[in-house]
Amino acid sequence: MLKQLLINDLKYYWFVFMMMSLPLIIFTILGLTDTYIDLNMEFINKYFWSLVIGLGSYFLIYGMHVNKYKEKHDRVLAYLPVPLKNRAIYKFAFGIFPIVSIVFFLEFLRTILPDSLNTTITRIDAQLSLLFIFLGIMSTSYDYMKCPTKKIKHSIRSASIVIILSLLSAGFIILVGSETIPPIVKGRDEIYFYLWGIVIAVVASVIYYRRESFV
Amino acid sequence: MSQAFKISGVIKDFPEFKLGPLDLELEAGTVLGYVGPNGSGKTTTMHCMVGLLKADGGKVEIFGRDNDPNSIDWKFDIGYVGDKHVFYENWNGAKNLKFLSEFYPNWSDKYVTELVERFQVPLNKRAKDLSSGNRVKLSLIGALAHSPKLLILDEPTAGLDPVVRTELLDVLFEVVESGERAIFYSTHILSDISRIADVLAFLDNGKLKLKVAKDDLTDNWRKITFKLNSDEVELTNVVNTERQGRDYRVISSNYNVTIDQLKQLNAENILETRMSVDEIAVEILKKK
Amino acid sequence: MILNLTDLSNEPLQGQIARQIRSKILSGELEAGYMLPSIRKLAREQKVSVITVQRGYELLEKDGLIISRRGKGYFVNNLMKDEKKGLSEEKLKQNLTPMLRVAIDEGMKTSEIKKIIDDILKTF
Repeated sequence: MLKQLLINDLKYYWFVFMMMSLPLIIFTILGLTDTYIDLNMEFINKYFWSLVIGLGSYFLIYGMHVNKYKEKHDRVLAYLPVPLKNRAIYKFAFGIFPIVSIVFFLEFLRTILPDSLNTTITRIDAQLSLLFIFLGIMSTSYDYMKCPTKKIKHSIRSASIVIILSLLSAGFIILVGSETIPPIVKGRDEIYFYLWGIVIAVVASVIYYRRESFV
Repeated sequence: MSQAFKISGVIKDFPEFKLGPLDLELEAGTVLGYVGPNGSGKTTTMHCMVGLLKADGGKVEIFGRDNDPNSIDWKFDIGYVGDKHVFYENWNGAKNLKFLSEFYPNWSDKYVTELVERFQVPLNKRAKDLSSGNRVKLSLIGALAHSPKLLILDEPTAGLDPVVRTELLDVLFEVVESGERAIFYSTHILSDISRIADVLAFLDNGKLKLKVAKDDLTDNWRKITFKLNSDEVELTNVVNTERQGRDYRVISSNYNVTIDQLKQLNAENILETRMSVDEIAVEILKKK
Repeated sequence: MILNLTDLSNEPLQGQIARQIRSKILSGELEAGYMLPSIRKLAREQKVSVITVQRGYELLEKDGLIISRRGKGYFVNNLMKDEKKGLSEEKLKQNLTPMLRVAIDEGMKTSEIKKIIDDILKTF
């Protein structure tokens, strides 16, 4: 069932996934043929790819989530014969699947592309990992709105969850950034961010499981 | 005979409204019409039954099984058309139905083709381009295609033209013909589907006001006009009295009793007429 | 079975069903031993609820016009000719009594009423 749902999403959002792949493909080709965009702006040269791939992917993935919300996909799945547990796992899988795919692809690129592009790839990684955390927080807070504890208003509840997770994330990032936590692999701090992003994705999935309303 | 569903003590709390405690059952082979004004809790009841809403108390059984969100057996027995019609908007009807078909082992493409023909639904148009009537029809097909034993329909005729409504009624009559399946539909327009209902349940402000066989209502309720000289008219079973001089018009919930009483009072020109289910429902819901 | 049912008359649906089947039986159109459509089948054909048909059949059963055989269905009863005649007479009395009362109340004389009845019968 899970595989079916994910394949279904791939089919429905094929255009989005294609648009996400485009900059990556162009980057790969340019990297392999040793061509680069030679602009005179220091900022753009340094951050061009991380912005395009990072922010680009973020907007596309965020767009998918918004579309799912607008079209009420959660609601249909709630009354279709899919166990709640599977739906929560699916939520987790769909949350991490696009970004994790890009990450693995980037790791693969590190092996085939010239070393000079390593820093660029790292910057892309860093950008993506932060956006991963951000997406997770958004998803969690939305689901948290539909959870029990009726005493507090919806908006206050989800706003507080956004704030708490953001503070935790910011604190975490600062700790790692200040090298308080030794990196697993030397020079590859962003792994922690991805792990933290996965933690938040798990939290999102658990909160989804505890939802009381899918209306 | 098995029970299509059994709602026991279901409660759902909202800030401005409370549903329940609600007790309601439906036997297989029966059609239950759920009647009530807007906001009385009909949609909420159905949401709690199909898994869209978790009730705050009580339980729901579908053909003897708890409506546990983690099990799916009971969901195979249900076909639901809700207050919102949800589709993959960028896909056409055919693709949307194909998506649904993967979830139900009993799905019949042949039946789908037949229903598409009868309801005249354009399957090649994107869902977002469909008129609201066509969206309802598509939802209905999605709910009927796996021949569920229990159909739960939330205002199914809203937005349908008379031709389609008749076609839908035909389909629904076919569904209950075998005696093994059941239909639970909610409405606040009764004239459409009132012929098919065996039982009517009246909901008002979250509480079940009355559950009665539809024929009992149409058999016993009458509008009665008569002439009477006396001013003091003590009639039982009368819910509405109009008077102009010696002319009276009353609505009686048990016309046999009322007419007997009128004869005893020597009333004259007693005339009674049947009332439509709609008219009766209005009186029932008006009562406190 | 072709029946003419309407929501618009003062007669309840089950009464209409019973009455129309009854006249088919009394007129000989449905012979003794004929198996009536099952309750559910008639309900679907006539687009009425099952309970309505059930009550209609119960009315016919009470009058002795049909009998139900468990597991098999409802069958037209074997009525003697004079039984049928008796039922028809009974029905005519039931129908005429209120009408005649209204006519008397409105001041008509017995002889006038009888003449009207004769005139009507002549047109058949």
